[in-house]
Amino acid sequence: MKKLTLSLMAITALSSSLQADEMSDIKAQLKALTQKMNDIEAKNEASSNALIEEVSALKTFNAIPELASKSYTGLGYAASKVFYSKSPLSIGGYGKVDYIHYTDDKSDGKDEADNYRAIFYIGYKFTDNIIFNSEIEFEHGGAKTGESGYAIVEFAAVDFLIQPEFNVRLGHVLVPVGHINLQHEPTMFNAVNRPETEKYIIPSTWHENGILTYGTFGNVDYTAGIVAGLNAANGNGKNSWRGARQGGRDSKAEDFAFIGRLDWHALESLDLSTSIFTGDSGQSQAGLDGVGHTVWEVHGVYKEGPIELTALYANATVDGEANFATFHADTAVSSEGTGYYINAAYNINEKWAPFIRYENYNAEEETLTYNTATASFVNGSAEDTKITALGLNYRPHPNVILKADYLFYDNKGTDDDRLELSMGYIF
Amino acid sequence: MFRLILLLLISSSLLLSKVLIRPDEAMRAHFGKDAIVSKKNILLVKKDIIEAQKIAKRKIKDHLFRIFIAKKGNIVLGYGVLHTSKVRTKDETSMFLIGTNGKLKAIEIIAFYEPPEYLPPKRWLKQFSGSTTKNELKLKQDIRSISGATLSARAITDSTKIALSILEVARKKSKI
Repeated sequence: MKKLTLSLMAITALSSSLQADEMSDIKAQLKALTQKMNDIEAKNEASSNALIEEVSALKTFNAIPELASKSYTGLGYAASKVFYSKSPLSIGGYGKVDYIHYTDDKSDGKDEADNYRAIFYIGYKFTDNIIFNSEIEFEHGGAKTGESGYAIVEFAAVDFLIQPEFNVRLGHVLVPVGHINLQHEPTMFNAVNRPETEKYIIPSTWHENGILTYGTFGNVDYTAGIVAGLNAANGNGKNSWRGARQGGRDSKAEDFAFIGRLDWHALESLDLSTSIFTGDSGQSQAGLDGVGHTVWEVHGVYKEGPIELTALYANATVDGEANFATFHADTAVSSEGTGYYINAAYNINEKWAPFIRYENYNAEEETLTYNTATASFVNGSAEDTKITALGLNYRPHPNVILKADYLFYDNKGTDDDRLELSMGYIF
Repeated sequence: MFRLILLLLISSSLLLSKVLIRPDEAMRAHFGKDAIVSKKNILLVKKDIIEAQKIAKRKIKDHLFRIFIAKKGNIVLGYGVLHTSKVRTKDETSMFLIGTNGKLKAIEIIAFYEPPEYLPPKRWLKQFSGSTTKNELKLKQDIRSISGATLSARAITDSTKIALSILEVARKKSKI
């Protein structure tokens, strides 16, 4: 445009020396040229805008295929949705590798370096409302005959999403009891290992075959359902609940257990939950009539700014303990166990978080032993186990966590204090 | 039991997912039913992106953004910035509804392709209301994490900061 102005000035200056008809000819040519340039500019802008519109539409379509409102292959909008949907297959996973050094202050614990968990999620979305999700877990380095490692399906269930108030999960499901069982990825808790209350009182990781219904009413989420019960033929001592899990491996289903859970989002920063599992566990096996296992708990999670507090109380009981003890003659079985823990973490920034966890549990608060020699029952009780964990988390990336903690054990001289290091990841 | 399961199977296949809300519906839900909603596609050059990154303190991979505008007559009521990010392996697309004062009014999740348990609840999204580019929006400090859905929390938190910054730069450069 500047050049054009200069040219016009030059022409004006020269005009006096040019003939009038030559002048008018040049002016006409210039006018035509200017018009052509304006046309080209407008065309370029229109093309560029059209290109931006097209790319943007393509980008939006790629991100949200369902927003394309036209029908596909003659079907209506809803029916043709599936043709637009992105890949229905979803893969994820998590894992952790631990190193544990025992201080040998009370016993002779052997240090360990363990490829503890390598877990893969596979999900498949059949439709927007029918979704399969699974978790396949390799523990302690995987399965090998004669070794402690194993491969296991932790869940494999299909969700039928019906409406926010009522949905169904069917198949091999995580038992929705406690805090850790549903959120057991290493990035979800501070210490290297889960609290022992959620290992022996609430036997996580706890999974079984069954059906769950779940939904939301205002600030309250609920879950209710039935799964195959525990098997009282297995488990004794502090493992009276943990050892009785069937894990969905050809589970005996003569007895079922009821599960109920409520999660109340009381405040923006506070969630309060309670859950229960209760049912017979004799599974129609001789000598185990009337034996039943119950586990219930309450817990709360408070998050405000950099502060995160978690507290849980759990209680586990066994009914029909006389039959339970007689079946496991000459071995103590537990009829009651309780435990609680409090975990406090402070997120200094997005990477560093020191934490402290204190727990006190006793999985053998009330034990019973049937002595075959004397044909009599002996009541007993074990000491509480008190564990204080002090530690630090470092997250080089939000999905990668390095943990270090030191555990002080106070349980009348059986378990060593220990230093634990761990690398965990989730993707 | 079998009949119940069969009934559920049949009924669930007839129902639609509740997750999606169309961007224009989201705009009207927050800026008024009678708002006139239009959209503009904004192309930001490298220099603009660098400026937006400095404000957001997050890396911005895109150059092209779709921004919705709600108007009543000639008066602009507010904007809706669409942003897509990866959660675990799948994408989520959210609309960030921002007032003319640059304050975030609300977040609406438009599409979410991860399993529903990772979908952030509305009550969690509310904590972003009133945020501006001046807010750091650091997860686990300024913003509470979501138990069981940390990756979703991360994706939405970063997207919020990016959307606020993109709109600020686009308005400064008179692109909108």
